[in-house]
Amino acid sequence: MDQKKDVALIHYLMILPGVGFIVLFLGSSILITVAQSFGLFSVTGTSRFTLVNWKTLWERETLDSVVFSLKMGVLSSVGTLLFAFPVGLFLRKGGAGKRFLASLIKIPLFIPALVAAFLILNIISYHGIVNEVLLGLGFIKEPLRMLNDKFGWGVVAIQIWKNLPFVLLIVSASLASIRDDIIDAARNLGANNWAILFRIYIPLAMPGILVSMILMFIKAFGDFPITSVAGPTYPPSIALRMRNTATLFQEWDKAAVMGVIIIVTTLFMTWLYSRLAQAVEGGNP
Amino acid sequence: MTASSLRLASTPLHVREARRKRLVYGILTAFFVVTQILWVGIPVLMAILWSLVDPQHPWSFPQLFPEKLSWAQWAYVFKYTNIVRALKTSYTVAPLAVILSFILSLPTSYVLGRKNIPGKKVFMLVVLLPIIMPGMVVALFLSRVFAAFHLTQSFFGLVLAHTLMGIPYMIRVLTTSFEAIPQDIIDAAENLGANTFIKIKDIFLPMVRPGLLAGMVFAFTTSIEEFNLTFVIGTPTFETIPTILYSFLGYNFIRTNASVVALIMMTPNIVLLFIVERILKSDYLSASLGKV
Amino acid sequence: MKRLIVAVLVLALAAGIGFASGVKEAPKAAPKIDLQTATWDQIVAAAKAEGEVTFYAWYFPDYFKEAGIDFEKQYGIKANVIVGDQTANFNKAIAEKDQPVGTIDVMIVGGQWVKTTMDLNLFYGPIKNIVPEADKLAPSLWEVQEGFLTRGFLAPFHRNQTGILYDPEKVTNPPQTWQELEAWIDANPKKFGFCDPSKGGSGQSFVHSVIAHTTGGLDKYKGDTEVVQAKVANWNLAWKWFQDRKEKLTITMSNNDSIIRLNGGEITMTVAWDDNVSDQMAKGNLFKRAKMYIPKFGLAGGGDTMGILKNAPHKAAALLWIRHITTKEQQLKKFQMVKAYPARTDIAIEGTLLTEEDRKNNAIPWFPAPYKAFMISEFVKNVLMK
Repeated sequence: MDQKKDVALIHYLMILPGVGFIVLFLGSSILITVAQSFGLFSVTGTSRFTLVNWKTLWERETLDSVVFSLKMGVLSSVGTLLFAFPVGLFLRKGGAGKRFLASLIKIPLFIPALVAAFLILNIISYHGIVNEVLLGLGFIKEPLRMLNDKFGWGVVAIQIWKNLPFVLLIVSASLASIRDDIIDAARNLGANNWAILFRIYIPLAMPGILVSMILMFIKAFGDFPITSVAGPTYPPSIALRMRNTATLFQEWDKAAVMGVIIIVTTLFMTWLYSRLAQAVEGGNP
Repeated sequence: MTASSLRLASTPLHVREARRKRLVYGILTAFFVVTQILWVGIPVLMAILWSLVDPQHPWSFPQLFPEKLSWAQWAYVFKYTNIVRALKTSYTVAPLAVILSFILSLPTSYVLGRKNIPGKKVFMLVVLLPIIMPGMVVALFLSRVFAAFHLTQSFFGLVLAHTLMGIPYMIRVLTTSFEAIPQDIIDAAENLGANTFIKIKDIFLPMVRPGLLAGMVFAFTTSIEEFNLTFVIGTPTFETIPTILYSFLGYNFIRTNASVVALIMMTPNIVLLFIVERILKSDYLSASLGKV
Repeated sequence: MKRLIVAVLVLALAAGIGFASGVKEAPKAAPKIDLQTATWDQIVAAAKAEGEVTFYAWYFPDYFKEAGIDFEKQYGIKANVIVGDQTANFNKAIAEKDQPVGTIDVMIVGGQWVKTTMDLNLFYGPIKNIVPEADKLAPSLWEVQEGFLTRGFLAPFHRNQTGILYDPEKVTNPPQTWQELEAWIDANPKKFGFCDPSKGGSGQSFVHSVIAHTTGGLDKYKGDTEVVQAKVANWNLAWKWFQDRKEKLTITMSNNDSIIRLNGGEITMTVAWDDNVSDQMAKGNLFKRAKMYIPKFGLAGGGDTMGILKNAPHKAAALLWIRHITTKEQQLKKFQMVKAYPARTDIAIEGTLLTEEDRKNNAIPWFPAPYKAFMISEFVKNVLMK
């Protein structure tokens, strides 16, 4: 894209339906959340400026929750992409059989997160299929306790299962826009499969990869239903901690601080992902 | 030497190469089919089995399968919840929300994808805000904005709410598609004297169609699954499928009933997806693979 | 393709317009009366003039749907029963609290939400003096719920109790005293489960009992309205009890998760709510052989209540709804349908999961609400984080 700026009123008018709509509805919600984090316009009816709620930034529980959610966000977005990209390449072209498969693989997209969580938990539970098969084959003597593992792999697994079609759809759309003649040309010039993958597919699909990773990160970072059933007993995800702070301990203003933390962290990570993508694209001209 | 290798030796190299490729390809496909069926099939089968558990014959360890199957759980959901009303609402709101988010996104995505306007990076972040907002903020504060605009307990309000929650996906995915259109095609069209209308009809829309399809699917599923905002601004006048699903899923988790509602929710979506893909696939693949 | 899109658009729009025009109804003007001084007959008449009531619950869709039909038959007042989710119900009530007229008339109140909502001043009241036969409903629950003083604002309609649920095929002699429980846990590592107290009341009840047994009873907390630091100074003994047994206990993710894991054979004994257990058993999610009791060392119980929102559009009808749910017939019907223990104290019922004897001798009340919140956050810090 050319580097010169397009400063035309018409362009701003054109983004108004999308951006304006969002700002109109969300602007005040975000402002009130920020105000509440400083004790103003509290849910409880009081309004007094204070910084005391921001002390939660130094609480180990809050930090643990943020770190946990970051971990889940990054691992889920990277993990889903690692599964989805090869599948996307594989499905890029094909006949009716593949088309059917491509539809089949999208089924989890329509299964609500909580239901997906319970279905996967069913499978990895103490006497679930995985354990029973391993027991039957004689690999283990005692069923493995895979539920609510300390790290959160269960959460990552469920995120990947549920969101694979989500990422696949975006990546496929990107891959579909790569023209065959480019690939043919590369092949004629003697490029092998790896070169085509790293020099053509990945760089050209980068916008799609980036968007899918950002959206996936947002989903996984802000998740609370999946973590609350499949996550470790400690720490809770930051969204879950925010809810508990408000409803179990009635600390509404402190919950607002966590709301601000969620928004700011997500925006920061989104920016970071974009920078990373730029760097990768830049490295592969 | 055996007969087969003799025959191999006599076939030309490129034919053997092609055969080997086809074999690898076949194995890959078979492997993919099997993993796919396990990957999606087992969890879905679990949901089906749980939805058919007979209330009088619980499914518990060490039974591998339920002792007795019955439709009792389905009958229960249809008898005691407003699921039919909810289905109607969900499937009227969702298409409208998809159309509205498409209309609102199109110009925005075009500018964000093809024009280098100042502040673009900020706008790209701003459009993500609806999905970044924590559910609690959505339920407690965003709902008040809808109340201030007199959009609660109204069908139009519900459509707007679902549009708002789904539009980030639509805008971002469409933007990516617009970015991916090669400038040379547009230049070529302009050189041939194409006007704006022809450019939109013959270049932009066909080229962004895969992205558009993805965006529409996301806007649709977001609408079908939206719960936090719908519950506050919609009920009691309107109930959607998630408002019923959550009564079996949230605090009061009941696997059998939840499976029934989840299956009721999934089935029309999956059927719709198959139909839409059948309609769109044939022309979208050819359109997007560079044969424009 | 294009024609298809146009067709869908037109159809959807038409449906949308039809839908939208069908719902708006002009609210009926109800005569203004002072509910605090009016006679019950006047309230019933006002309720009929209001013509409808909107009730929010998060469980028993079967019973409440039937109760709504009965209500309509008996009084000619339309009952909108919405069975949502616990958190969502309260989020909605809180989101609407500053509107002059809300959309919820009456809702179920329970768990940690008693304190949250009472602190936010959501409910109209007191109503104990208005509802007929109020004295027949669990008197202590009218005053204190979940350790919080509710002063007659919330009407009891349902009682529940935590107990120990077990698989009689694997546990032949379930523990009764504290020492027996400790010995059982030592002998059967990982087979005893309770839920994370920040995720469910059954877990709170168990931690509450651990505190009672390791730090010298519950009497000292009586009547406190905030946490007295001197009284909780020795709670480290309770946390030590958990830390010592951490590898032998199974902490589950919700009240229902405990029951699910028992059904799945992972654990053989767990703390659970009796109404949850009956519900899961009735729907085929838990084996019928499961047994439940309240051990001699004591476990807490409580109940759920109904509150009328301050900005309820149909207050008189809401009062009548509460009356309807707490009549003898409805309380019995509720028990027959969902096996949930009634709030009325003047009806005899048979076939409960927990015996009357257990309830009388072994059920204990919660300590005050501030201690409960403190208990949860300290449990996270001293047990889960360690």
